[in-house]
Amino acid sequence: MGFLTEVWAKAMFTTDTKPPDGILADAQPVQDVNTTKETNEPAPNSKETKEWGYDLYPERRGETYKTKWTRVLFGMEGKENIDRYKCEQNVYWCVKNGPLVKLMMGALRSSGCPIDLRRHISCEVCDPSVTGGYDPVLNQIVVCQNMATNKSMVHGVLTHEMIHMFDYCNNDLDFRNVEHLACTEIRAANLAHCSFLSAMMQGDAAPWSAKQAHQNCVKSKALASVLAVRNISREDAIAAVERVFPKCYADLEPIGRRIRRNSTDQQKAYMEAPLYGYDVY
Amino acid sequence: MPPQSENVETKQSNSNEKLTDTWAIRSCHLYKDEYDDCTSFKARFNQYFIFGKSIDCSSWLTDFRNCERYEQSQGKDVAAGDAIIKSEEQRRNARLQAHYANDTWQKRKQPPEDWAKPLPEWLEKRNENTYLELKQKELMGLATPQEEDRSFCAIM
Repeated sequence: MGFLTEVWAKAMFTTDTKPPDGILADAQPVQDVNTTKETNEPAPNSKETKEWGYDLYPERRGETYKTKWTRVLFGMEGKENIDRYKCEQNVYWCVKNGPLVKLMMGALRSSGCPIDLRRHISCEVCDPSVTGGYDPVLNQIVVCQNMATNKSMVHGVLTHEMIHMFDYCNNDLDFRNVEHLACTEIRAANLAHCSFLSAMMQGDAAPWSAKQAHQNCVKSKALASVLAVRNISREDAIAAVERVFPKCYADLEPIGRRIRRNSTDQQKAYMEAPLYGYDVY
Repeated sequence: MPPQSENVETKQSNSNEKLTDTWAIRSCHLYKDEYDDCTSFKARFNQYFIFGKSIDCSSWLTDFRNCERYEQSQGKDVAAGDAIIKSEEQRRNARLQAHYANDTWQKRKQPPEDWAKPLPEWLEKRNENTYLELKQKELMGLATPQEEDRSFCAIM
């Protein structure tokens, strides 16, 4: 229970004027979160939608993005269709060339869940605080065409969300269950997010306090993701993350290693995937 | 090359054994790569960052040496080959054990049935004739692959 409780105490101390709830409590952009939504019952008010974190993905509600003419005038909006096309090109590039994406697609296929690019991936305009998400209701990856604008970002989004898909494919995963949500977020952060650099950006590590800081990075990343999509108290979220942490942190399937930046880890993981029974994509 | 006598000896002692699971043996340079990477300064720092200490890389080196012996004897040095297969098995067990020990959730017996359920109509309509649809058709062999050299550059 150590690290997160400490961070929480510090956060309470510094930001005690703000109530610790809602999505924007965290100043840093949340990179990837899951969306969960109810398709059958339309949300009656904005508070309801916020609880399921899907006001971050306006196009999930079936409306196309509405541009503001002032922003079009300054060239900040109005190119949505071109952006979507570019985003889809990046997705296809990653599927053809990205080692981790290829690994994940192979792992999914051999688990009996093949990815159909059109069925399972969608490029959309989202809230600027996210770069991508996974929608468990439609079982789709959302890539944010306005935020994930280059190949490496799209690669990161696809890998992260495909880890959620892998967990859903292999396990009886209930995204309403906070422990399940925490576990899959821990795994995604553990395998593909928390390099030393991103841990430093996140404030969880520094060259002088690097010892085992990786765990702290995974914990706070998972916590942020859980809090972004569930309207639960920080205390409950911390408790859930800490409860499932040891098991989910040790579970490295299907990548098998914690990827180090600027190394050949990605390629190595891809090459050894067939030894673990995963398809070659 | 190991000394000739040793080679002959191993050949004789294991002449009637045959290795199964030779699929688990990787190319030798991969073991060397793993060992070199594992002991590099950057990786040592990364290990400190993740585990708080340096991890044991010696199994990669042992595998590399065995692999060379195995390759140079052209698959006749069964003891060396067997050692690699055992070590690879250990590696797999360690990784999969952690996976199966994760009992936060129940393992599925079958893949979820709603994996590729139909999308809502508005989404299907939006997806019609898009780039990814075309590419998926190409991957499934329903459309002929096309050249990709178009760009949005307006100067040319």
